[in-house]
Amino acid sequence: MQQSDLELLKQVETKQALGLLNTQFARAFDRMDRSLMVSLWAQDAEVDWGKHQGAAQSFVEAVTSPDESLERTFSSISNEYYEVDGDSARGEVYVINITTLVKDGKKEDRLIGGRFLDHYRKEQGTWKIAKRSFVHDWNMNLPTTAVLDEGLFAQFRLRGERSQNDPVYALFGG
Amino acid sequence: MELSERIRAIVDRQAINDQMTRYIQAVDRCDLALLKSVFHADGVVDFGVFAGNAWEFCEQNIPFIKENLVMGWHRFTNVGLELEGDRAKAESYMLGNAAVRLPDGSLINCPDNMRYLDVWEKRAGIWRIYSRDLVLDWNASWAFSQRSDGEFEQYQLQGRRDESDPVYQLDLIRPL
Repeated sequence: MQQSDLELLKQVETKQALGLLNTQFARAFDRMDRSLMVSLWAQDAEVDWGKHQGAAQSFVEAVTSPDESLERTFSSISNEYYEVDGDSARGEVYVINITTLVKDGKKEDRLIGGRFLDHYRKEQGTWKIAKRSFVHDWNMNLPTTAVLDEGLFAQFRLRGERSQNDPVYALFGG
Repeated sequence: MELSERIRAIVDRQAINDQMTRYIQAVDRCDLALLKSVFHADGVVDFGVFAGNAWEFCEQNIPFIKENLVMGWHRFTNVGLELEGDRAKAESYMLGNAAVRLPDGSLINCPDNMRYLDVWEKRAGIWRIYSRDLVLDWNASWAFSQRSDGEFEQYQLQGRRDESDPVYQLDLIRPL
């Protein structure tokens, strides 16, 4: 194996590690998993996400605190583009966030299409988010038409939860 | 296979994936130079609305989508890629969302599911598309339900379809 092969392999390994980091971010966000969410950010990490500006800590606490108005959330990422430079990297990641909102006893579905624009840093051998900006591209607001407890859908026993009762924790542990 | 060949195959897959990502960046930011860079100059496309040389398609398509779509946004998944040395065949799934203004001035959302059927070629060490066909699988016309009031007021960073989009400030638009 030549040295250049190893360098090329390292680039791919880093991109895969960043992909996993962003997958874990979606899981932490959707499952309201504070300890996982905290673990994904670098020391002194920053965020520019709507009303959350500055230190990432307040964002991390806010999105992993119980919120009665969020019945369910689903954050699906795609289109990951990374530029790697040694122990730092930058990236653009597409995300669709689907939320069922409960307002005054009524339910509404909200879809937001956007992108994460990120700086990453490797700390003690692990890739972390050093800065995340959220770019809003589009949104949709629709009356909830989900069918969960009738007909065919009632047979899907395993249900997503915004907690560690979600079935994913039976697979990966908490 | 030799270890170095196996590494090359992994690196090639990543390189093509990166180029597929750049293609969507180009379409969503309406970046003609980036879009052309993803194709070989002698590449060909069959998109129905245009069939022929890939660079001519790019030059026609970017002004077309800028004029006819109020917003365009695409995600791609399901990349089925078969490598054959310096050539590769790929199918990838695309889910798009567009906002379109109707003649009466109202807006609609048009989500669509399509697939790209590609032939990729590595020339002078760089993977670019030699051939891309677009297959339509599904689309819909939905009432435009976007809002900018209430909680949406907090989003100061808004996507743009030109070089003022924040992705350019991060130096993440990098044609090869």
